[in-house]
Amino acid sequence: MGAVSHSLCLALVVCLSGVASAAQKPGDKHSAAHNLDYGEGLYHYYQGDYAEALSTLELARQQGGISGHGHYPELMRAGMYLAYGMTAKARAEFAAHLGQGEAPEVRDTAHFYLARLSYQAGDYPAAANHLQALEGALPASLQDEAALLAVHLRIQTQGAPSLNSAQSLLEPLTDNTYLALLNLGNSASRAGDPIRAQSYYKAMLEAEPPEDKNRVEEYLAVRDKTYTALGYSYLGQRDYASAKAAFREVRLDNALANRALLGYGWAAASYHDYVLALKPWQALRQRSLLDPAVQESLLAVPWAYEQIDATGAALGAYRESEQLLNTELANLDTAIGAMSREALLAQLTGDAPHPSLNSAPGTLKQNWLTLDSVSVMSSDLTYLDGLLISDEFQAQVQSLRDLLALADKFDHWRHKLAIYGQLLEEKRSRRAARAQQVADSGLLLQPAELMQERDQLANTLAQVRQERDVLALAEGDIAALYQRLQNAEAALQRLAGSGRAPADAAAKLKLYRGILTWQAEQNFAHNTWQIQKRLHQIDTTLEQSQTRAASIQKLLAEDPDIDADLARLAQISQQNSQQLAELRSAINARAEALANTLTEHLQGHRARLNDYLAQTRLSIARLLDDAYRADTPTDGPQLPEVAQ
Amino acid sequence: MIRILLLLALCLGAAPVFAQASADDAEALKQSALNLNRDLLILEEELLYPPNSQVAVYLSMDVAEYFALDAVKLKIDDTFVAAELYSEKQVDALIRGGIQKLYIGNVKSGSHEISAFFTGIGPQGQPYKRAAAITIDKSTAPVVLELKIVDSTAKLQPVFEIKQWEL
Repeated sequence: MGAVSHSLCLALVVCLSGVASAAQKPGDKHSAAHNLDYGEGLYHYYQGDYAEALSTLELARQQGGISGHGHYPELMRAGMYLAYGMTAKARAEFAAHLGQGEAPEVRDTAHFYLARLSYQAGDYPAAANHLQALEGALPASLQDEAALLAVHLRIQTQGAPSLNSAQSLLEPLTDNTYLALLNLGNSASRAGDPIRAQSYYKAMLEAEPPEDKNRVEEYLAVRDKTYTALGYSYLGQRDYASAKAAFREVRLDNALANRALLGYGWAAASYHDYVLALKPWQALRQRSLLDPAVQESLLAVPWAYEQIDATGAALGAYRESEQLLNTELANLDTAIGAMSREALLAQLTGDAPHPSLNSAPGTLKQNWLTLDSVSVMSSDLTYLDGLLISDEFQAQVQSLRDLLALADKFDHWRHKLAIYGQLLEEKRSRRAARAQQVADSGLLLQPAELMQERDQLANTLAQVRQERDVLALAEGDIAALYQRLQNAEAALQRLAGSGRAPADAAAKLKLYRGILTWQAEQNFAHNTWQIQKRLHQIDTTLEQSQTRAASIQKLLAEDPDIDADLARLAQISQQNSQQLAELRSAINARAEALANTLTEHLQGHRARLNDYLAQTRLSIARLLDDAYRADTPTDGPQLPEVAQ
Repeated sequence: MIRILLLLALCLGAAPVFAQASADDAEALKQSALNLNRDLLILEEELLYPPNSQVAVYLSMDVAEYFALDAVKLKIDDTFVAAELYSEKQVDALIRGGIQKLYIGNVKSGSHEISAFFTGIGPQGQPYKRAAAITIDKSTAPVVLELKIVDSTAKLQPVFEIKQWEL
């Protein structure tokens, strides 16, 4: 399920990301998202970090949602849940977008994915209902997928109709036409209707190849499968010439050719052309024994030699098969012995895991994981390729990989949280040291002292105003002249007893005082207002200082923010540890189960090879026995001396 | 014999049930992990980057016909605070509409100059280096900036902008 889910989710992302047109594909250019959270979610998603992508979108939802993209981010999130193997959550999120209040394309997209999920769960009526609910507003890149789903649904519920009747099913298809025709043909073939199957196969082969160069390889792979299926269909009808012609069209440079080579040989052997049959079979036995077709060739080649009375060659081929099987069984035993939970986890987390266990790059793929296309026995795990390509196994591996990635993430959080705890403790220490420093310097007492000074100033001002002491507030030249006047008056007083003071000095000084007083009187109101203004400013500043000092005093006394942060940190650290423990436990259990599955698969393969080995040995014994009984062996081997 | 057949049928029937239970368990585990990861992200941001000092810088690419991004450096006042060399996968994610959170950090209140330096391959296939700068006035609200690489079809050149988001 996960395999298909991932590719489909990518298609969803392609449709819904940014304001791109729905027809775009991966690699096409898109506009950047209009919302930063949404864009960040997409960025993580395209990096393959689904957990971070979903966390980002969930965080955005919690903080008020994502604006500027309508309901697409919610559909995107549902698609990401689907890609992340959380199908129940994805189903719930898609189901929330079926209402009439949604835009038709949103509703259709939700219906399509729900149809897909229902189909994968085997709930075909529900899948059909969702497909029927489509209103023609499905994004273009999903329309082909929906058409293919309709074909598969038809196959599952009613089997393949005749090619003519299937036109309504086939018409909406574009890129998936080839695959649909092949699958319809295979369905008809399984139902025992080779004529109908052949009509589909031929329709596929007559279809125009794709113009898009990126799709040519996929087309050729489907074509190879179709020719192979067509060949076997003819073989079943004893139309050997047509079968050979079909098998001959299959490309030989890939693993898909094995069944075609085997079929070609059987087609030739069916009309007793064993020499011709030997050619493909001999080529086949050079390939990996993982393939059942190759395993069958181990017996087919010597059998063909026997049919042309080349007994010696037959015996040689049987012995060669025996040797190949023995080697393969020894390798298998090594692989079974090495298979364990730890080995599997090492493969998944190692620097160079087996290619079959690698995540697919962020492009459209049939499966979540890439499959090693090289079929040589380069490592023990190549024995498992047959199992590894199955969607169910790959979904299990992907789930395990997801859990491993999460465990890794929370392990990082564990380290970070420890550091944050240290930071807060250091902050507390620094604060204590600073508090001591503040206490020692009496900094927090200064506002109160300044307030006292301010009060004295206010009292002085009040007294000046009350007594209307205009010269007390004099400024500038008047203040300087007043100072000189006071000095002169003091000097006059000192000279008063000596008789040396000028006679009119006192009168002049009195006149000057009068003039200065008159001048100061002119500015008294302004000067009073200026001082009052300054006093207000001082009041405001002192008030702020006092508030700040009180706040600092309280902070120093209680440490409320640090305590709260530390408590929160301790709580979430505990949750993190619990989560990590649960993840590790789940990882171990799943890895154990997967290792057991793999071991069972290897043992099944071993049993099959053992059967072939037994048949091979039996044939060798039979040939030796025949040779022993013969009077004059022709090209057969010389029998060994039998020890008495 | 009948007992064996019944047992076999039970085992075969039980296998999908166990598989479904396992899938359900995995989904529940993932959900709780996602919730916790979200809470951890919130805590980290609140703890390390309080709004009154927070500055976050994002990077986006609006199409990329005229510029292939190699690296971005970010400077706040006189200090380089972030540098990123971009892999093919990262560039692909940006081209497909993703936005990268390039930097999150703290600055004091007041005026700050934020500069970004972009290097890559330009329209003629030549090495291309450009810069963009903005002066921000940091108050008690967080500052969010977006470094935007935009294709200018009129100039047939990439344009580098810094947008300040209003929060």
